Amino acid sequence: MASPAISVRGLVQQYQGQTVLSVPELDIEAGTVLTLLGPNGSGKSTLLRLMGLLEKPTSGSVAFSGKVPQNAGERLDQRRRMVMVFQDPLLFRGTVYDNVAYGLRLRKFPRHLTQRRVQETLDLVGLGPLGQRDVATLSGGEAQKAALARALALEPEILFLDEPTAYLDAPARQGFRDELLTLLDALHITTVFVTHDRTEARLVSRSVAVLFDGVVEQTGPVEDVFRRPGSARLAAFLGVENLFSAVAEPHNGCARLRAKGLELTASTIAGGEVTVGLRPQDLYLESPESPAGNAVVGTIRRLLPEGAAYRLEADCGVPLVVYVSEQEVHRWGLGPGRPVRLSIDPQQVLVYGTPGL
Amino acid sequence: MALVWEGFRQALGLLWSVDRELLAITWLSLRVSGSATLMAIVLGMPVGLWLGLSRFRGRRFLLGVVNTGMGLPPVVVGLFISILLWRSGPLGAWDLLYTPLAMIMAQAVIAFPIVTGLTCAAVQQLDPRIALQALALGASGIQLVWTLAREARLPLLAAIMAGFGGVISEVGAVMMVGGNIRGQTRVLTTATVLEARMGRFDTAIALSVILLGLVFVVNAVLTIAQQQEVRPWRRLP
Repeated sequence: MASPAISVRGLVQQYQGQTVLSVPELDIEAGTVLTLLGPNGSGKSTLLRLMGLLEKPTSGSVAFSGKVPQNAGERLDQRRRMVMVFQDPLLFRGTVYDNVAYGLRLRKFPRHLTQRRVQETLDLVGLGPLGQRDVATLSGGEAQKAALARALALEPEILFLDEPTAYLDAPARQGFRDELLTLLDALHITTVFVTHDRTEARLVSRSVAVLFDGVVEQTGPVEDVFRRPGSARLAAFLGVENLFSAVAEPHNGCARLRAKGLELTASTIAGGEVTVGLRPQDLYLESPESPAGNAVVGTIRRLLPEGAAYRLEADCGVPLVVYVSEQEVHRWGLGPGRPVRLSIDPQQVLVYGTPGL
Repeated sequence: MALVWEGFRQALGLLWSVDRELLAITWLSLRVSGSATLMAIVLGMPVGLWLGLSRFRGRRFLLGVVNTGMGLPPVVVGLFISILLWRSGPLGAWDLLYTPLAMIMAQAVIAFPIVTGLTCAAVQQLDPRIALQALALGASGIQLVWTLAREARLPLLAAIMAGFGGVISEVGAVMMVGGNIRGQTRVLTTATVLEARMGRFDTAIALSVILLGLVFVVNAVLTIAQQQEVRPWRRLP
């Protein structure tokens, strides 16, 4: 079996004696896209810089296709097989052409081939006619595309993207993201994408590693991680808005969960004080007169338009949030003060051992 | 005021008549200050880049020394270079005192901290992430330094201009180590001092005008180079 494109082993990074990153093991398969997701300051960018050989770790190693670069020469050779795009485009003074040609010139790429490669890459990212533009005159989106072109012109084996959409406004972000997704699908480059935006993480890759306080808390297929976050704080970060403390009792191979004013069943074995997580998208509306099921009843507190849906906030003993469509609002006659019944599949109820948040 | 106009008139006259002695003085000024600036660039820019880009114990002290050197009085430099080059001095055997080479040495000492200090400031004001980006695109150590120097080329050219301006206009050091010997070590500044001392203010003003013109032309060339930011590039058909 081929070695992973990147293998991280026992990687620790300390700044002034403080450990900011500790990753015992992380593998990234060749040709795949992995998203490093985590809040600001969680160590994502540090991990990226270490994998990009732009920083030396306090301890541990990063291997590329099973080989750890041993000396400065090998490190430079490896660095030249990968490339990084940062949050800020960080374009050099000069024209778009100069920037895209920069890495090729460093590698002493023949001049006539450089011109062709630059033009092809600019066409690829949709900046074909802008080669002779001074980078100071580019818009934010154009500048980030130029930075991407500068990276792709090198035809890297590994592409590191450090929150490349962070500095873009909403329309530019959308455009850049669409372009990026198309390119990643077409090019099959091993890619590590860093973001703190969970929507972006779900869009960009099939695999995700979630970092908290310098530690990889969970890795796996992106939908699995979002469906079953490994801890309560991970659940909170990944958008599980309904988190509350409860008391669990084992009951017929399941757990009966009791919190203030509600009772639910979860398909898991748990006992004692726990934290319960209910993803808003797993809750669905039922008629208040429906027969008993795995449901909670309460009163609607607020109904707020949010994008194409409505955010329904209900008081069910504990505050719960669910998103409903405009059609549902009309069909059920939903509004503040009205009764509501929210149902959930016991398999979708998340139960964490740590009580409280 | 009439004296000033007379000075201007005479300067034009001197230039028009292509005065051989004046041409020799101007050429020597340019040669001495140009060589001194070049030496300062060759030595000072790498030191400035090193001070700006590296971190080590004692770096702040060295920066303090360089910054102090930027205000070095030329006459003090002249005195110390003279002592070094005196017959009885440590470099007396070279017999360089009162030669253009001694003047170049003295002016290089004056320009070195100016070029070093401004080079250091130029690279320090760069976004530190630029270095990271260059490395991430595959730059080696030398390529990184070259990239950063290119990024800081506007302030670096300003450093060269400041170094040249500092030495072409100084009189104390060249007077002490050169001696203002007619036909050998007389430059525009020392000639101006001499003419003024002898009461020939119109000639002194004429020499000053030529000196100013020279500084202007050299700096104009550097400014044009500095402001040529964007190189034209043609799209492939």
